[in-house]
Amino acid sequence: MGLLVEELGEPVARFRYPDAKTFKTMVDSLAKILDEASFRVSSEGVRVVGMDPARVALIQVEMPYESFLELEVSGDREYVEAGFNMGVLKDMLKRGKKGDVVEFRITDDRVLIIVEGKVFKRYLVPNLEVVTEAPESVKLEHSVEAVVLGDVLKRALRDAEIVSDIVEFEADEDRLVIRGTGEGRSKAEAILTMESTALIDLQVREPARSSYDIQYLKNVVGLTGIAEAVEVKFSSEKPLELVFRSPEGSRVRYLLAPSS
Amino acid sequence: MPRIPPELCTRCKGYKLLCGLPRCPILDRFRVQIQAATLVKGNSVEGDSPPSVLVGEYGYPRVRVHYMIPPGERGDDAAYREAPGEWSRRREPLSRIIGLRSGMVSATIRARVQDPWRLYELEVSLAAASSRPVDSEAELARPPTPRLLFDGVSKPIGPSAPAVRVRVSSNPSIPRPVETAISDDELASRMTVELYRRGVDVYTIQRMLSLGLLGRLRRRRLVPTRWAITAVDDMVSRYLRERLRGAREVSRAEVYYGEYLGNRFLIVIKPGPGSFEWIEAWHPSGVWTRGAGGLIFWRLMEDPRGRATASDGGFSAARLPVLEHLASRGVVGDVVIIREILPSYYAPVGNWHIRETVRRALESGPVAVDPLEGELRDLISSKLTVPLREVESRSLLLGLGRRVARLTDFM
Repeated sequence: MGLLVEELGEPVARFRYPDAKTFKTMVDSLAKILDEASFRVSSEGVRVVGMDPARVALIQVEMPYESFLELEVSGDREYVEAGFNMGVLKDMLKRGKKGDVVEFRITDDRVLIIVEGKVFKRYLVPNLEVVTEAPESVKLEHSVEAVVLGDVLKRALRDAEIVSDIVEFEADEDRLVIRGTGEGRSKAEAILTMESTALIDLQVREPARSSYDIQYLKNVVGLTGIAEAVEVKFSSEKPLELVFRSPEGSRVRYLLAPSS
Repeated sequence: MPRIPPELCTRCKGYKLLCGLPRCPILDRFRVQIQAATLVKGNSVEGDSPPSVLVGEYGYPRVRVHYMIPPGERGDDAAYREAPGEWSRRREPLSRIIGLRSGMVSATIRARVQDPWRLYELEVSLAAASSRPVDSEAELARPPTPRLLFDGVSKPIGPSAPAVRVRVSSNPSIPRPVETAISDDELASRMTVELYRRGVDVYTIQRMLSLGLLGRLRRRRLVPTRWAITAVDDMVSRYLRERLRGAREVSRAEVYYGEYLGNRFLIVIKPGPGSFEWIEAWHPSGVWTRGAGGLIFWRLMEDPRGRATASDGGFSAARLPVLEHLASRGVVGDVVIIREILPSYYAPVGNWHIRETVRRALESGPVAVDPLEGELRDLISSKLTVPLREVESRSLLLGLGRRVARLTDFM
């Protein structure tokens, strides 16, 4: 089966994911936020959590057991951790195509990554010990919960960016506004109402308005490639929560602190 | 002169031509007329180049290379014409720096950036990497045009004329690490860091990169000096940031202050993961702000991973000495740099003074340690002329008016 496989030795965990492109998209977003990340593999699936160095944003990726073709963890372990330099991992998965299968074979000191497409590509990397500062779980209450078409969110952010580096989200009973306010009173606004197909759902417990750094949001807009609709949740001057769900059942959660 | 919004000029510095004109009208007017007759007799010039070489960018990829020679001058006097560190230490005034630069004649050579080897054969490249002045002669096509050329990033160029022939007549003294780097077939970014680690100063590395002395042998290029300056600042800063990964945070805030050539710098280093904030305040009636109605502000931020909201040569120049300072102490911190530009900065002489003034400010020790909010406010008002509220309303990192919310505050 090849030199690298023999060199690796007996893995303590292994998984095969059916779509290299989706996997790559998630890794790309992780790489924009984290220098290093640890993938925790358990019988429930694979989970990655991390905070950006400035502690402004948190990203959490969850790939459930069902989304894998195969997933095994050595019987005596509750979970296995695989730590990567995200820049390196991103480059390795760069050429992953839709429909290519990605496989990770993990030992305690190394990880073998196999991308199966027209050509078999194998990469052997050290399994890094990564210290994660991020808390295990974060629960936030939001006064606004909306579901928006991913493309619409992406374009609204691009528009806001023309005039400002801060984007404001505002919601009342029947509409969601995404707005950039620049110097010299220039403004760019996208108004989404329930009549439009762009806004799939809107629940407002209390009208709210809050601003966020566009650069930080751009780190994850790439995820609209895996999820057609995005959950957008916020409260006035509280963190924003975005949730992306891929058709295979993976979920990416992104929390971002407000900007004053 | 057409009316151009000064906001554009402070961003452009005669370089990006944001106004849409083919040449910068401010720089054009700034071509100081000087007495060339006293400098050169006939069409040849002889003297020690400090070394001073500048690669222009106009016409890229066919550029002009300026090889500068102070007529009849030798040794240390010649070296002082290209000594930014020294100038700043002795606090040379603007007029003296312009004088030093205008006393050199520039022999211009036309070159294709893809072919750095021709300059190498002329020995101009090696001369540029020399640690001591190099005896040089140039034969010019005509007497040099008596004027000074300015731009926003590099040092001014003296009277110039096309070179018919350039001869380097003494052996350049090339330090060992520089020699190794020149012959190494290795990426320029890696060699830049290697040279820096071996103690070669950034100005020498800039000249080397600019003259195509660094990089994979078959892919070397001439790099316009302006680009090379910021490239070296950025490559070295990336290395320093890398070295500081995982270092502990400074325990309390420190404030530093420096002023030179009508530029004031207030630097605050405070506990944090390593974000940078750069705020420029340009007073009206300065070089780039003639006709401005009031202060013009510019601000950018860089996250702890070194990703900035905009690229800015001035910020790159200021960040380098701050990272050097932090690396020497083995600590990280959030950093706010406020730069105030007074109208007395009447001629753009290059961004070296930013690097040097910030370096000097840090060397001379903090003006305040662990200030209370009120003390920090007083310090800003007393050191800078910019109204305090303007700073408060703009800065996110200072934490006076606005502040960066951390996610951890909500969990």
